[in-house]
Amino acid sequence: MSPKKQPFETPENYFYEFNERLQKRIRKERQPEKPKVRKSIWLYASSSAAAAVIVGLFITLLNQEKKFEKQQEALEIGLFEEIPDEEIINYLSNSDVFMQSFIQSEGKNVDEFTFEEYETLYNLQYE
Amino acid sequence: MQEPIVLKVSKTITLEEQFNQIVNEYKERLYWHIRKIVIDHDDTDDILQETFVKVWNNLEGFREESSVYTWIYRIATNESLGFLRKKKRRSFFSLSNADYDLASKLDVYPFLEAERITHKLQKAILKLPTQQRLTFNMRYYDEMKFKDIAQILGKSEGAVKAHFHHARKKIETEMLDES
Repeated sequence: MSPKKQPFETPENYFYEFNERLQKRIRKERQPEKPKVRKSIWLYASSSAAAAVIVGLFITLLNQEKKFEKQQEALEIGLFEEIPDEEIINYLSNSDVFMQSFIQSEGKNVDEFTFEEYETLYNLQYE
Repeated sequence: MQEPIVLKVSKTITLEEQFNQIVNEYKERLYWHIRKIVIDHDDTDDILQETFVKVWNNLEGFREESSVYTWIYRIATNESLGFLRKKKRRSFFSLSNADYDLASKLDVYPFLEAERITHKLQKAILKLPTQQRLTFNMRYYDEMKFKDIAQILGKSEGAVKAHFHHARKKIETEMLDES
């Protein structure tokens, strides 16, 4: 008895080319995890490097900010040292309306005040 | 059915030679066996390759309790059914089922007027429950012995005979209704 005719057709040369394609697939499956391992090592290395760069940048920025603050502080102290006491008293009495009115309420002239007197008054007022 | 050349794994040749012999002997038969289960050519090609990859991976540890022939058919059948199960799961939300998809795939392939009966037969076969469909295909197209079919499907010989009987009856009714 002859075998029954199959109900479908196959693309041309399908069975002829099948062995080669199968060999390729088996070869591909035979190559174990090596590339994957290598890939994951590179992945870990690059992500660690990126994390290190980010942390480094953050620390550098933080240090720079601190340095800048210190510089600003030193600059301000230096500038204040150069300013005569009278000028500071004048500035403060002109800018501080409350102190000015207080000095005037004492019946005194702002220009007559020494820095120490001003400081005593200021402390009395704000203690 | 033509008796398979490679019935048992020989110990006189290398594993690779045995494998090549198996591939050459069974690639065509297995292709048709899988194709009748999943219908689509590309799916069949993928499952056939996967079947042989599994054969290759397990050939060394293969125990000669059963013949290579039924062992390979069993792998191919399980792979095909696994493929259909996956497809059915995927189409769970798409209001269609794998059986419907198989029937619609059948219409994609051009049949000549002379092959109208073949087309009708295939449609009727696709309406059968899976076990009956597998049994009918293996018995009708591949002319396998019931004993071998039973071994491939992991059923008793009596159960397989019953499957074939029911399948034939249903197909007859279907074909008569359609004509």
